[in-house]
Amino acid sequence: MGVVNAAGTGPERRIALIQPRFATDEQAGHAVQLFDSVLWVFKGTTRSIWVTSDADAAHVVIAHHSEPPAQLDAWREAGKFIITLSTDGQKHPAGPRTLVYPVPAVQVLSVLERVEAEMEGWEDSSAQAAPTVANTAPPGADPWSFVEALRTLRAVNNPSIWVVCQGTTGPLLWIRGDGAQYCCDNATAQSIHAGTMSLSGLTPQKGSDPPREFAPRPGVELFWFATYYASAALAPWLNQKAIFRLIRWPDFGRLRPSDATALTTQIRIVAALNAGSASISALSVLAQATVEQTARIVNALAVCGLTEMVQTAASRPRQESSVSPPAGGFKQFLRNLRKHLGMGTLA
Amino acid sequence: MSATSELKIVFAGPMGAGKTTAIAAVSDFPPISTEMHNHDQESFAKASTTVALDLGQIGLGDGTVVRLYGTPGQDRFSFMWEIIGRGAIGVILLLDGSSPSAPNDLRTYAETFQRITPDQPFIVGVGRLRPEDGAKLDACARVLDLLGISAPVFSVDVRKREDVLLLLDTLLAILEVRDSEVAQAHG
Repeated sequence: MGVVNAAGTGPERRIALIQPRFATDEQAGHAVQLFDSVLWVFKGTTRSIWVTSDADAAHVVIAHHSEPPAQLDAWREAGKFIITLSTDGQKHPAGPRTLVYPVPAVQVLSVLERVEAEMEGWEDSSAQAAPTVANTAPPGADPWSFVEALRTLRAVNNPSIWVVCQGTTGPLLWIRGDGAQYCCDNATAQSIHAGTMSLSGLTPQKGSDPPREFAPRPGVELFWFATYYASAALAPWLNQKAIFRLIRWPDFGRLRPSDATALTTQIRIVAALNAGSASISALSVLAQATVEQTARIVNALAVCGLTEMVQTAASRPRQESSVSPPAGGFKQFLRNLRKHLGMGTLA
Repeated sequence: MSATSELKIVFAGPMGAGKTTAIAAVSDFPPISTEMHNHDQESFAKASTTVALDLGQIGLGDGTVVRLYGTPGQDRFSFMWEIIGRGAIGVILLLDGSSPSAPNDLRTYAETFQRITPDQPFIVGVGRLRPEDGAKLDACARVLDLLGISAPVFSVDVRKREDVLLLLDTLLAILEVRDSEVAQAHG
């Protein structure tokens, strides 16, 4: 194991340079050697201290495209970041995690910086700190344009194609033609979840398949968060005076915000809708949430097909509770229990 | 200290679904596995049966105590579900999403607890799901649809406290909304 960047002051990260065993062209070995050389040349200038190691111990694995997919998947499942070196730009074109030999040094550094940012994003995720991916909407952009594009995509329903959204530095987001899956790097995914990336400036366009290193994510995540953060106003295709009925609860295990209070509010709005069909204003009163918070959740539910508009408001039939309330009443009990467990409380 | 009020939340589910882990995540003390003898020999032919259940507790400052019961997972001890479930303020059902029997388990538990506690929140947490396993979660939701039960079904990992809190948060939110409904109805 050798220290590549002894002069660095950042965190130490282990990187494995896998010698191609299955490649038929000798350039494969040259590509790995070139990557190794760039690491040495730029030692002391990268954010992290890169230490070469074997694959088992590595955070990042550099492998030629001829490496068996099963091996790449195994490394990926072990939580390693994979950077692929391609010596065939036709079959394995450049991507966020694919470099085509001969690789300019700046691209090596760029991909390493990107991986570093993702690793930091993962490390910070326990502290709920989502990185911000640089992408800003143009001034005056329609806040619903991206959501409308997603809805159109789903209506067209062509799972055999992928559409690509370009960010400021290249391809950012791949969405399958039926909207059922999307792919991006972890930093982008976290920004989408946190609402820190403006999606309204993105225009999905037909493009190539996503890079293999990005595991597909459920499209419902993209639909939910893109819609939730699009606007605090009710979506243009919904009626402000309409009565909404809950079809099914969203999977808050996957669709939750990082903020505990926001989560509690969102759950309570859905619980209010679960209690019976109601208008936005009635829901906000019952859920003790603002009209804006309620509209955001109803927008997200609607775009995911989890709520529908109905003619009249109706409460769900329910038997009287057979449980005796605690001494101080349910309201006080719920407040105390939330406080005890460190949950979000009413705003 | 004697409790001024005692309330009960039930964690149900088949063996290995994570009931003990979930209780441990929020209990004031590590769950106690309790052994109980079956005294209901009229209903159950077996003369002597030992049943294991988990017990945890959350003590609140005002003397209110929330008992957390983990039901025995084995089907043959399902008679215990009724005893434990009666009087609960809510039921959290945990399922192993990697098990092919998860939809059937859900049907069994949902039907049973709808009968025992029809008026109380019923929350379903499905564990061991991968991101691409959305269809398995949908299958569980469809089981509830067919039973006419509108209950949350969440993908969770109960080894993470935040996921256990999500389930409890939802249970409490449903109770809060009901409390508000009652308050509104009474002007």
